[in-house]
Amino acid sequence: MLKYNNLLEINDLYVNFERYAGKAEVLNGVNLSVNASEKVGLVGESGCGKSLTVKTIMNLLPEKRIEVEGSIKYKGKDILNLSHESRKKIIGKEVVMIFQDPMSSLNPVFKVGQQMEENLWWNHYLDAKPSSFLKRRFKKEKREKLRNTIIKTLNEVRIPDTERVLNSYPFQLSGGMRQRILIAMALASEPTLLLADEPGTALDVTTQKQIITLLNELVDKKDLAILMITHNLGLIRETTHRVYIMYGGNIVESAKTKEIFNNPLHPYTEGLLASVPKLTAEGVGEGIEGTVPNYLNIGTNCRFEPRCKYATKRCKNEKPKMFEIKPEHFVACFNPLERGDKHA
Amino acid sequence: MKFNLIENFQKNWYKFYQNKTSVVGLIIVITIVLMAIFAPYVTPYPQQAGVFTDFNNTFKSPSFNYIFGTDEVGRDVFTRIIFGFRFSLILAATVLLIGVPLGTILGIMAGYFGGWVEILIMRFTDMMLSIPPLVMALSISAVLSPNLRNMMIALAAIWWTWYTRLVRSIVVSLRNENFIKALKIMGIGDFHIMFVEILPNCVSQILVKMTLDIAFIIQLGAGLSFLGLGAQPPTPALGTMISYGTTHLPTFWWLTVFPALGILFLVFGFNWLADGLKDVLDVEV
Repeated sequence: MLKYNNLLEINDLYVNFERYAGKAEVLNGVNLSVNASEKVGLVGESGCGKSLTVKTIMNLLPEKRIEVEGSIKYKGKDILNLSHESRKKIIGKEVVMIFQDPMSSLNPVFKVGQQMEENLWWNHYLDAKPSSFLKRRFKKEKREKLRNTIIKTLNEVRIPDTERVLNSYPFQLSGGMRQRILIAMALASEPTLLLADEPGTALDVTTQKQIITLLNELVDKKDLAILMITHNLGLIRETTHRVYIMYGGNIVESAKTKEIFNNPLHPYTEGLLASVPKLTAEGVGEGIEGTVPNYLNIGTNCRFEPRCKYATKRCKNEKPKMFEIKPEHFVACFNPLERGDKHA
Repeated sequence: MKFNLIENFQKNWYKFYQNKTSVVGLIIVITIVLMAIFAPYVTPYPQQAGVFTDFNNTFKSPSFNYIFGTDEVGRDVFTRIIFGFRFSLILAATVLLIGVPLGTILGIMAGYFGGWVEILIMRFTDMMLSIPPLVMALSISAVLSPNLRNMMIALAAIWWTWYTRLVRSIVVSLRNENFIKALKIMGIGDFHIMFVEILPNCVSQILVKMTLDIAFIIQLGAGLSFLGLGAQPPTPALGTMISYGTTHLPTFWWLTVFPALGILFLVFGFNWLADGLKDVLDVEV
């Protein structure tokens, strides 16, 4: 396989929503790249535009009253301008996504086995028509072949008692089980890039750990690239190579994971790290005052300025650009922090 | 939400069996349907259902020979009631066969596409809903002639609206579920998503509403027949029989009371059956 240095490359992505009250400029020039077989984290508060970025990649945005500018390149091809047919060959096959909520990601009226079969089938026959979908139900040989592939993938995600699981409805399975099935379904098409939108958030902590460990093992084994979206900083620290910190529709800081945790330079990153409760300290973490900005008629100031402890006059009038402050450490701030390894 | 009636038959039967009235309903419905299908074989005088006169036996009170008595031209009332079930069931079946697919398709389209499609379909539905069935049947009978077929057309023309509303409300809540998003990501067509993925999610609700509606349609059909808008004599429709029986009240009470009891049984049977199905399918209507 050809190794792409930049498997996924997002350049100056703007996403604006036209609302009755005005224009909501949500994504404001996002630059992001994922290399082949690299694990990248995307971190930020709720409402920062993380999920929106992923939805834009997966072409899940509503069609009306929305403006998308910029480019999203996958293997050098701009997937925003592809035709429906050629996009179908990339999205859902080479670029796959794991949703946040395993509860609503499976159709409640079909058995798990049926759904996995269908998923595989659609992946193998990209130009399938609904009529051929009905026909294949009668082809027994093909079904058995699919069945064997499915059992193999289920074993890969360590589901015991595959026969029972395949013959049960989604509501009969636990959340962790369903998330495993979703992972198996996502990996069944042999993708190169996996977008994981908070893969463990809806699960309890122990299950979450199992799922994340499993996901990581599979990603290592199959040599995938993964873009992991999460609130969980501990998880980012353990699993990713590189991190993007997102705030208010902007990438505000990006560096190697170790570098970010040891030496955060953007005030927002510092706040995020400080908000994690520590075992050795009293009470919950410090947190950051204020909330995510309202994107309607937002000004040209730095979007973090209203909440920033270090804001100056310049921050009110100008939007900071990303610059390389150290090798491979980018930050978008006029007053990046200057201090040593406080969080080491 | 779970459409696995046949598969977990034992479990579902247990749930159904818990409510004894629904079992009674099931028995009534099965008996009535079987009797209606095999009407010529189970009735004592099948030739007396339609055009028949026997002036020796007019207005006989219920006896061993004529268990529900005879009417003004000597026809056996029991025979006519059994044949009357036929017409009631045919009416309900036809109205539902036209109304349910039409309403379901429109409801899925309205819920799935949203926007202008939804506005057009739902406002048209509201418009049709505002016409009472009786008025609709009256106007259709005024334009065409009053008979069973036109009554079916009149009822079917307004009956789909309820299914449109029901299905739309389910589809709207499913539209943004992740499994639909996943299908969209894979580039699967709208047609497949609507009818292969979403439709099975609505089946249990539609099924329960259908069983409830059968009773309602039968009642309405009897009402329209009573007013002379449905089946015309000598067709043995229950409503028509009651209507003609009222002219001989109270002396020849059996002409009115027994057809009315027939309707009562039909309606109770289907309503109780619907209750049981509701328990099995976990549906709130």
